Amino acid sequence: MSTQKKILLVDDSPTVLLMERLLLQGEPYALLSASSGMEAVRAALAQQPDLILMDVVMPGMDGFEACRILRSDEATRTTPIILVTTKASLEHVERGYESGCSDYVTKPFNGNELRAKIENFLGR
Amino acid sequence: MHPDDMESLRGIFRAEARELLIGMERAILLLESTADPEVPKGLFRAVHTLKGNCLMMGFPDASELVHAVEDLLQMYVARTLSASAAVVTLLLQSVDALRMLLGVPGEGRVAADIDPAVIQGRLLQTARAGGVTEAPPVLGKVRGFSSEVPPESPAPERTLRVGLDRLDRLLDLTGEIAISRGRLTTMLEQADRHAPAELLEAHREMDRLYLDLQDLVLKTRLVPIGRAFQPFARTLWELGLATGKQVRLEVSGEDVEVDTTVVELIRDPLTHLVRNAVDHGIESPSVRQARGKPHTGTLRIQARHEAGAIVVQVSDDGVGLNRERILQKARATGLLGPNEDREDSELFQLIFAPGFSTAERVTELSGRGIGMDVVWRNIEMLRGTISIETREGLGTTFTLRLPLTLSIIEGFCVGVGEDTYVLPLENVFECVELPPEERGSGATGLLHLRGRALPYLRLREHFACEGPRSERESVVIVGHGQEYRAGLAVDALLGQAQTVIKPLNKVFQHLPGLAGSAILGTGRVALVLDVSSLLRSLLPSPIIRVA
Repeated sequence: MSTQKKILLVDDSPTVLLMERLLLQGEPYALLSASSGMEAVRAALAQQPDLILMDVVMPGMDGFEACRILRSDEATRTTPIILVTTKASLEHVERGYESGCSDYVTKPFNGNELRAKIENFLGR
Repeated sequence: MHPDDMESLRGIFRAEARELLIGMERAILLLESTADPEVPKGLFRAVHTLKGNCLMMGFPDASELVHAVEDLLQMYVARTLSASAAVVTLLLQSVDALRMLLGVPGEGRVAADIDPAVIQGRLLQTARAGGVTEAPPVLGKVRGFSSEVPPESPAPERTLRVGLDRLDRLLDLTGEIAISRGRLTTMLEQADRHAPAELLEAHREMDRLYLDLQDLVLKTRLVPIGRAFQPFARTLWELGLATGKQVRLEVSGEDVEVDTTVVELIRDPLTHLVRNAVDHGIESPSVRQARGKPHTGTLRIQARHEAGAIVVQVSDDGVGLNRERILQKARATGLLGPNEDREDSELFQLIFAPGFSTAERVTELSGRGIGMDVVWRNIEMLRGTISIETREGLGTTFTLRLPLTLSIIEGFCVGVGEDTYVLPLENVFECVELPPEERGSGATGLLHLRGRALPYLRLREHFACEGPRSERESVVIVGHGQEYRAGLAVDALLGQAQTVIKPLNKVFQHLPGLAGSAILGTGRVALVLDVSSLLRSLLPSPIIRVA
């Protein structure tokens, strides 16, 4: 289905990736995943997702860095990026917005919260 | 969320938590000695991921504990804490507490008897005080040997992570076999149009594919043996604290791949050998210095492939085995007569006898002489052998030799009445005919072979087999490693065949003398004999050599 919106899930933790998939199953989205910042950048440029849900703390390239790179590329300059953090500490929020993310979710999030944030960007 | 989904999520969470905790433990042990900035970075990432996952999965206690660990780690890495050994102990205990809270036992370690709330209190207090103010709690018994596991502890989940590429190759091969099978079926349906040689060739082609499949399935079960070595850094650190000895661990061959069952079963024997090496082998720093040895002892664990087997060696550069003391002990316990002596290699094997321990005092670490016999039993269960090399004053090396795979063996088939039994070929040394005067019905007997008296067991009586007796009886000489030989009297020698061992049904699993069952080429079921336990029923103790 070409009309289906694509969401790229990025997390180095298989637990979180699976949980996000399970929380979003049944929604009309095609779900892609990546397990590092580097992989996320590659996947985002190649697949052009409609939204990216990205973990902050990852080995190698972290979520902020990936966010900055994606914002500097024409193809992903405006793609909504929702960062996933454990605790929305002030430092994280500031660094996140500096790097160009669109919004936040804080662990532990629930399905409704996550779906609402996503719908906010993608509409229904 | 659907209960099934929740279940798979929990499974992934536990598997990940287990890995994260192993990584944390390893990094905590390295913190003091390493200059690699990746170690603390990786540690913080693991802590962070674990904290997030605990929050998401509804483990608030664990998540708070991880948070306290994170705070303390930050201070530790920033070098604002004093008394580092005690802090490391506390951090390691936190890892144990987390394992307990999350229900993920460490590799080969028994969940510690630890109260997570107490640990958390201590973490907070330590962070507040800027270091450990009270003496660290006395380390309990150093854990990690399964004979100490309380029986109610649940068996760990038996899972195996398999690379997708391996599964893809399996699927490809299944496809090829399907095609080949289809071709053979078509040919057989029109068998009159094909020469027998053609049909046989088609069958052989399928056979080749099938063998590839077998090979791949076995490879799928392979995991790096290094997993069995994982707990030892921690074990050595704890032993170092408890004994004041300094020991450096050198590990090589972690990548050697072995059947997953080998990793499960080799952990306990290795743990015991490692503890033994520190307790009895490696000397205290002052003694070492006086003997002109380096302060810090070295413990090496090496794994490698060797001629179709896996060899794992545990060596230390400690005192070596004391021949005189082992001899005295063997005489004192009646394993040897008062004036009897043995060659070194045989004498040293005596330390595997149940209850044999030469330690002058019973220590907390190595227990009370239970242990080495457990090592022996575990290695036997893996159909492996163990040998010892030692040089007084210079150190000891234990060499474990294990079969590459556990489920397929080269078997030797024997017939008793109407039944067929399979012996692992590696345990079969020779076959001789039973002299006429020995033929009969006794369950056991003695056979004279090249001037030695060899006890033998008549399988017909041992397993109460029925069916007509044969005219002649043969004796299969079986043994384990170099030393222990005994005979098994059977009706017929049926020859060699590759055999897939299937485990016995639970009801029959504890029958002595049987290792499993196998399906023969004829479609009949045969029982696979457990040579070690048969030997035990013949010989009073594994160390008595038939001389």
